[in-house]
Amino acid sequence: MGEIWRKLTFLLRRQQLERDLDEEMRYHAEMAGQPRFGNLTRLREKSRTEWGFGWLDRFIQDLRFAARLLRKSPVFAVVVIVSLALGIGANSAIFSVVNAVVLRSLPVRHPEQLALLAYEDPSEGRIMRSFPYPFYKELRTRSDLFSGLLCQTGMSPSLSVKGSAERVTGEMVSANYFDVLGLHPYVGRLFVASDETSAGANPIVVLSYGFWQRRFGGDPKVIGTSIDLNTTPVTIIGVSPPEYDSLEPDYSPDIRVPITMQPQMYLGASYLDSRHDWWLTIVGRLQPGVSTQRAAGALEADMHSYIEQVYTAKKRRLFRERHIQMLAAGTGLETNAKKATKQLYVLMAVVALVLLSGCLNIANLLLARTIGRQREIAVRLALGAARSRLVRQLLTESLLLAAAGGALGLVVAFFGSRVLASFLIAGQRGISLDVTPDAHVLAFTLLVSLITGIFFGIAPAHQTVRVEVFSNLKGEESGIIGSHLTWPKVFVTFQVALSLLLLTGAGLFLKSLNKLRTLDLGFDKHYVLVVSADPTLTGYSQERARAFYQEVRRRIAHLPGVLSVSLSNIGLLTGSWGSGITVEGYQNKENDLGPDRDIAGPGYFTTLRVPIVQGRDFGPQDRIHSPHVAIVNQTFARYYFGKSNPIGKHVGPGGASAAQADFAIVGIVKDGKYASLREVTPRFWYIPYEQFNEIHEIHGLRLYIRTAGDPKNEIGAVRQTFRTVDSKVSLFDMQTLEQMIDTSLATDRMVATLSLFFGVLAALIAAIGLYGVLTYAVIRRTREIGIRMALGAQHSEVLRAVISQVTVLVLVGIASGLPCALVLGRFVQSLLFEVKIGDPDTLLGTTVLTLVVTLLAGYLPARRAASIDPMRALRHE
Amino acid sequence: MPHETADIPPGTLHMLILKTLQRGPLHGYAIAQRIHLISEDVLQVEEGSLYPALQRILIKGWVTADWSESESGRRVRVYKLTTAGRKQLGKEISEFDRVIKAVYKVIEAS
Repeated sequence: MGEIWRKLTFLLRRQQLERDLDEEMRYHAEMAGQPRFGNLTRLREKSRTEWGFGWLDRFIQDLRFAARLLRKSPVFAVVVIVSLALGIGANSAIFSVVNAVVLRSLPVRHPEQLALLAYEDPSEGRIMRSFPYPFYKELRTRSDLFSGLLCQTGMSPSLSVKGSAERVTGEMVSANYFDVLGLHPYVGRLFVASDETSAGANPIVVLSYGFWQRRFGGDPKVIGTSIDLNTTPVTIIGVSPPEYDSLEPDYSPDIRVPITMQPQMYLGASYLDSRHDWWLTIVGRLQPGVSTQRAAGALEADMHSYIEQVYTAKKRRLFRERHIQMLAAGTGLETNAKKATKQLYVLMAVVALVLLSGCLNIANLLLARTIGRQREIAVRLALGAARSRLVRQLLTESLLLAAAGGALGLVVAFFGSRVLASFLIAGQRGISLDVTPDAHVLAFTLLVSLITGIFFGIAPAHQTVRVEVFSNLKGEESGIIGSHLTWPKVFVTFQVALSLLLLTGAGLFLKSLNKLRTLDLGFDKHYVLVVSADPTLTGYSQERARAFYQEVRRRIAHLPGVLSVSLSNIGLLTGSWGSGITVEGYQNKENDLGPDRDIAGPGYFTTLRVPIVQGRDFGPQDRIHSPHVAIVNQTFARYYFGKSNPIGKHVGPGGASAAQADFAIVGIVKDGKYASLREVTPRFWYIPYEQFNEIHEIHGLRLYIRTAGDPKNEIGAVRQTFRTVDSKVSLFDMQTLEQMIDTSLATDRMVATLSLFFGVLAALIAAIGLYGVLTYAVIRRTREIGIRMALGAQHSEVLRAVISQVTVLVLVGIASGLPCALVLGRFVQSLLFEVKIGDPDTLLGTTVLTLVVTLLAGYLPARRAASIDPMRALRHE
Repeated sequence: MPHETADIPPGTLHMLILKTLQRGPLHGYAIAQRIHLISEDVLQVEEGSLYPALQRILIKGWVTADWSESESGRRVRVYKLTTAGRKQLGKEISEFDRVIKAVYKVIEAS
């Protein structure tokens, strides 16, 4: 250690030390007599190396030399650095998002110990993660497996402070939630074990830091005050720490209440004692040394004994195939953003390829520079410079460029990642994704810069090693002619292949997006305004809520710009609601999950312009206590009734309300899209809103308002109408139906837009590469071409010669790119909608595009070659 | 020539310099002179190896260097052995001793 320290102090006092050494050697020389003293400079150098760090000194020297060279050609330096900054920046930007969504650990104590309880539901083929509360309480005693076990579920209550209400996002959590995660309050206190006693007995709330700042201006005096959640007064006890949002990397709820407040938050029956309602997410902190597999194995037995106790033998069969899994939750739970992981990886591959292609151009540029410096290099070699030293120097130059590009690239990444994040979380409530570059992003950028620098520095360095000293000094160029364009030609061919690959990808994604956008939705998405409300959150009874909706609908229908208005419960593109079913004269198949169902107001299908194939729409006559009616879609009709006429047949909700199979089918509507654009059309049926209300409580409803003009123009009037009827009822999710559909396509649009952008970029890079290499070749062969022309070669022949050379390069590129596109395409097949990888239109289109762009780039240098004046060319050099 | 000078055996220069400094601080020229003298003109330290070696020893922390006045009133840079240097000297001598003994054994083997 002492030695390094002394070396460092020597570094700082270098000038002084050199003077000292000089003086003492001069003294020595005087005493000994000058002639006996050797080469003073050499001696000084040798002594000095003893102080230094060897390779580090030489590296710094090389760095200085490289910087000096670059300063002498600023245009070159700027072009290269800016291109690199964009390339590296794009890579880092996408990595930042991947990092935030997939890789980053939650800011809690020992995140690696957290595991999510889940099981695969074989009937739905997806991972489920809901459990009953009594089951959770049972598991909590398993201290052999867990040092802590928490449960949570989402909620969206209406929060009011002194009469002004708003809808907030929140979570109900077990009282040990913060404890298990190892979080400490920012202000006040967090929940403790005694905050989870019995239903409704724990009226306290913890605010998130963000919400506390936003809603209360960070006022510590709000601790201890009371606010209303869905008309239940609760006391604010504290604020959670600022760095923690939630277990989901892109979700930041505003508030948290103890799980025992569930009946107040959901305004209905308590699920707390229900052994049949599966509604809670369970996350455990595993005891040290307990693997996820071991815990899963132990819990499997627990779950099946629980099912044994709770369900009848007949029901149990449904659960037999459920196998518990413990999923590592250190980086957060599965969310919407996480679902885009594959898309993000595809984009990462795309930008990596673009960077690669760009690097090849830079390598070509550097190569040309090196060839220009051949003479200098030959001289230095002749003077005794080691080739390894020269190679190191050239690599240092490349690394310097790459480092500068990388540093600037971080700036690009900083902004780029924000744009990407906004794509990913487009339009979702309560969602925010923190993509600020952290140590991982810095390390990634450093690594990419390093690899980039070495990558594009290798070819010029390789060229140096092959410089032949004597022929070069004699002015011959035998060492470079002929072979010196091998690298560039390979590069250009590769670039053409890459651009074809990326353009094909872009083409497929665009086609897929277009298919999604022009999809027959089964309804008319234009000119519809959507808004949701839930008056029961402000204490309305079911009866008053019905009256409220009727009044609101009546008033909105009379607004000048509004054509019609109707409502539903779940609504389009938000999710699905499976339902039991009883169909007259039909025996349900075993394990059939049944159709999906929604409830709808009068004029629902007319308002959304869903074609009514047979029968009628719901109307004002379908009131509460009037004869029960239902409307079904074509798939429903076909499934249950085949070719016979379903009109007049009776259906009912099944299950507990099986007795009421008295809903007469009055209409059949055209099939459409319900929960998502990619779904397989489900069986779907509708019950009038008021008639459904006879059997079930209804909370939120969603209004659809068809307008004559731009629906956005009606937002103010609609808001005002609600306020007139009751200002305490808060509105949420006000948007146009088109916006809703756009939002659901955000990820597809991101992939299509970015892959198109990068595909075009790759094509441009290839074109520039081709242009550069050919122009360079033509300039170097000016003399040869001049001689040929002097000997009688025609302009057209020269043109044809160059063009045919270009064509070969381009064709080889395309021929190698196409199979790559077909093979790599399989990795993105699952992201495409109704588009096949081998889509002939796309392949043809991108091949033609690549051909046109690259040949155009090759034509310019070819024309230049053909226009060489033999007289001048012969005088050249 | 009565006395033929010889090159310093490789690896022993550090030891020689440190040993020379054991009797007291000296400047560079004096170190070379002393070695020459004590070895009865056999060992000749080249300036070309002396100064790099001194820098190395300095970096290692075995000696310190300070400016002082010589007997003739000239400013000279004087090297002084440190504790670490003394330890190193002991180590190098015993190592040298071991090697030389081994070399003799080989030479004297019949």
